[in-house]
Amino acid sequence: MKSIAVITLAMGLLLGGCVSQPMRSAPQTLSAQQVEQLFAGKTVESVNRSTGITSFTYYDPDGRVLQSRLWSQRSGKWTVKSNGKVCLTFDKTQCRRIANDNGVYYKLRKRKGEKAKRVVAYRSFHDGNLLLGKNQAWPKVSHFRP
Amino acid sequence: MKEMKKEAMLYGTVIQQMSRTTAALCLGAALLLPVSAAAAVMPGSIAIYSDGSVEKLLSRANGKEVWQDSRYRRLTRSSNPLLPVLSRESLGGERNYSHFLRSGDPDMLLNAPAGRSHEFVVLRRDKYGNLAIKPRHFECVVNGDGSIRIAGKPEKVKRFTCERFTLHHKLLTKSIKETLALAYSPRLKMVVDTQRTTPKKSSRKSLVKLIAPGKHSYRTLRAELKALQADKQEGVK
Repeated sequence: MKSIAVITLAMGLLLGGCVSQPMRSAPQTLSAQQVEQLFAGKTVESVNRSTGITSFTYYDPDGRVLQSRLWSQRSGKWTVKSNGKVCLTFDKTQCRRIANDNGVYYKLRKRKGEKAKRVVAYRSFHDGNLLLGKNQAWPKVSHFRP
Repeated sequence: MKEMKKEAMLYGTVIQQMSRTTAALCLGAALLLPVSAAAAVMPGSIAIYSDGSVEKLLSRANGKEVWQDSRYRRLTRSSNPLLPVLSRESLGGERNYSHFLRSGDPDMLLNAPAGRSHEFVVLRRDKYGNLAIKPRHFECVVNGDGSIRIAGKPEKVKRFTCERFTLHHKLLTKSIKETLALAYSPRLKMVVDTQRTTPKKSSRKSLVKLIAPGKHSYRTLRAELKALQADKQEGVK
């Protein structure tokens, strides 16, 4: 009786091993170098997870940033801190960590005493500036126009 | 004259923001245009829908119109509201999918009397350029004329119901994928209300507001969307 149970258990373990499970790793926050590589020279589509509004942001390697949302644009600056936080400056400066959860990137907001919250999800990363036409000038307003 | 007044009411938010004198001047200028030209939604206009989606009309020519959604995807639509979106391209220019008419003549339904039905077949090409194995069959019925309220004002519409289905390759049995109840405004030349029902869920998208070309601002659009979101949450409660 005991041997039957052992055999059944062994079979179960063997068969269990045959079923392929997708390998999911824990979300990782990105280093300064990884953030730089991810954003520099890219037009990034992101969605605010609370409002559902989509933004397109071009991160120029020279530190300028251009953002377009609902057919309005604003410009500012971006930097990456040594701790991996990306800082965007429009009217004011906000610095946030970026996390990678199995290939999907998120912007995190961490408030005192709270767990980090995924506030923005990144949908796609395109090379180059898709927001300005060839002869279009870089807008110089830090709040959305029109 | 009546049409012009309606047009002005629909673009209400814009008119309200302008001074009375400017509004009177604009209305006066609009009166000089032929009714047909002034009635249809003009390129540059922004449409806000009840489900929170927003689209901007980029162009309208040769029986086709190009809209852009808030993800800046370009949606090419036929001027025939019964046909699905003809193609969708992302901001980077990649084509996501396209549809083209294989058989049938959906145009025959546009001025047909209530009760008339017609079947047409559409083929879908995916982003890799591959044709879907199963053609998409549509059977549309004219439900007749009606009226709908947009921003509190009545708008004359033509109502249609379309069933999209596939046919079993051997048994030729119908498998209904979705049912669309459409309200089309011939004056605005756009669908103003869509009720979509699939075997799993049902959703509704109706036109809430139209913003005239060049009159939008981030603030006003954001406020409109926030109000819609609040209404939605209120409805859930």
